[in-house]
Amino acid sequence: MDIVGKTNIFVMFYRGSIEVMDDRSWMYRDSPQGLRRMDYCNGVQGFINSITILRNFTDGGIRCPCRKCKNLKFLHQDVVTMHLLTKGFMEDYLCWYAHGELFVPNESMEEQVVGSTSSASNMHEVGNENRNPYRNMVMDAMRMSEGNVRECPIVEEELNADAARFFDLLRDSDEPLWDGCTNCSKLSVVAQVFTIKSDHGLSEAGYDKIFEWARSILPEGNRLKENFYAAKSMMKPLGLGYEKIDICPNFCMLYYLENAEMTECMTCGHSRYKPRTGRGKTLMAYKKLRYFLITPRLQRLFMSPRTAEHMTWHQSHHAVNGVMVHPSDGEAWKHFNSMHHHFSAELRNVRLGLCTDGFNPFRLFAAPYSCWPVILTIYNLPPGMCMRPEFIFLSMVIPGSSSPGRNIDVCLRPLIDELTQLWSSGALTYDILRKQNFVMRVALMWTINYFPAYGMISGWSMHGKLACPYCMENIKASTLTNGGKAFFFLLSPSFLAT
Amino acid sequence: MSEDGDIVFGLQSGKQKFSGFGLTHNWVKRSMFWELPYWKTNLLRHNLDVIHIEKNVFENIFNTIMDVKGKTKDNIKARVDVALFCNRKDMELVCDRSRVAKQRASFVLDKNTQLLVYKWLKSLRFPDRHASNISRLVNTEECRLYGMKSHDCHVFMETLIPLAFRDLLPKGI
Repeated sequence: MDIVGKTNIFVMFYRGSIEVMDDRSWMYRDSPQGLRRMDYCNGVQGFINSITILRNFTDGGIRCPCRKCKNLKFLHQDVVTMHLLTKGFMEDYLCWYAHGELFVPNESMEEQVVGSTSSASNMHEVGNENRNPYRNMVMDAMRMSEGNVRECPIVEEELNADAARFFDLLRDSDEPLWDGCTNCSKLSVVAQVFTIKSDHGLSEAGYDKIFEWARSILPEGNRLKENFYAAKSMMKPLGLGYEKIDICPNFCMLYYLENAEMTECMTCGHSRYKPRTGRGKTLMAYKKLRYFLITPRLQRLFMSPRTAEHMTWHQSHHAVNGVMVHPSDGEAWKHFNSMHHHFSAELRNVRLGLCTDGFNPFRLFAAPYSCWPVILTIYNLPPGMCMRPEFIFLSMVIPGSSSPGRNIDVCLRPLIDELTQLWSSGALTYDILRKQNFVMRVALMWTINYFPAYGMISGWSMHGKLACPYCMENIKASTLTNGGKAFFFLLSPSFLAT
Repeated sequence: MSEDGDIVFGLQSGKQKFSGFGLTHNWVKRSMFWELPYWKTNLLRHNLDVIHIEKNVFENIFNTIMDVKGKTKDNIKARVDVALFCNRKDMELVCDRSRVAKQRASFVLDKNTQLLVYKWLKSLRFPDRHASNISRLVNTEECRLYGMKSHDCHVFMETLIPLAFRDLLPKGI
């Protein structure tokens, strides 16, 4: 293996300064007798020095990258030196990603990383954070704390489009509802009424009427948005949207990426749009898939201090021996950790579970209609939180009226693409709790479904004699003569024997 | 674990089967999750929704014991199969000259006892947040339960089934 060549692609970042990483071929090079060479000892010493000088890690100890600890333990530097000299470095640790280096596979990300790390180095206490929760909401959504905005001009340069929108929103949030009003701002009112609207199913017309009335009783020159449309366009820069992707009514293909311009299905030839009725109407697709991007929502979890602190719970909770309180105590989780050191070393990386099921939105007795919401749960959060409605992420809604069946793969395409991208390159995220940027990566741990959906997702059919996904092909079921269903009754002796 | 296969997706694409389907395997497609680079290292790829299964098991048990028409699993076809596969004379269909009679099984409650159960359910009260108010879900006229959530089914399976049926059903069951 050409170690020297491999090391050159890694670049070391620390607080805005770039330092091209030195040659690290010494890390895995031993003398023929198995003895440590002199350059290895020097290298280890250099490794310890570089960490202790650069970082204030020494108080709580440093991560030990030896073959046994694998970056999971925080130890004193002398102990780490000892471990490295006796056991050697863990496998594939040429980039010291757990010690302040960023794992950068390509060079296109460099500029981004440098700019935003420097903004992160500005640490500020946010004093008046509790004053206006709706203002905090804006801050949270735009990934920065108040201090950073005011005193770090770099942000303005970096996030041009974002920053412009953000400052607009900030001005809105600060502006009092009318001159002399002390407790309400323009944004806080809109946000509160939006909540009421969605909680009680208020219609748009009702909303407009109430606001018309409210404007008439408020003092002259108030800044209340006149109707729902105006309020909605004010809230839009917060970034709570979704994508609509047209889909063939027979679930053959998505009109997505390279096929976005097509007007007929490649497989069945079904037209994409409904025939025009009337003049000047826009084209209406037969079926639309609604896809909710997960990256911005996951990033937002790190932008609020209240949620960011819980995003490492899966590692920090105290496991009682032998009692499984969370999937992270289980074997599958540990196996995944041991297979992917790069991933598990960063505790903030997100782990997801996926589930889906068909449901009829038109009550039980209406016309049969089966739309399939696909839902993601976040396993980083403590069990009490991850099942709350606000942390269960709706990822997409697959429209009806019939179930997609095994063609669900067609619909899952955007999700799989995003997950693959989030695994391989990750997304640069600002962690408000630790005041630093990091590359967040995401893994899908497993899916949880009921039998029919299980068959659709996994590809192992849930019908017939081989329906059991656990026994798979190693079972001989029979079919009932009159009932017509597979049954395992005659097999009961074979289960008893084992 | 999975075979490679070129499945043409679409509801109109017709039935496409890999060779040996239903005999040596039950694969219908190569799941898209295999495109995730780490998927092959996962130990648990797909899991079953236990609470959903529990709900279905509960519904089948309850509807069979209460002999709900159309929902019970103790139906004519099952009785015909019993005659073929089991040695249970009392469960077989009785053929009278012109009609076929299904005798009441020992695990099915008669109408009066069913009413007792429903009335008891109607008067049930739970601690706050333990389950939804089951007494409101009971329809004593139609002898049905409506709108049971999966958590209610779980509570029913755990605590109510032994209470409800211990004295009403014969000892052997």
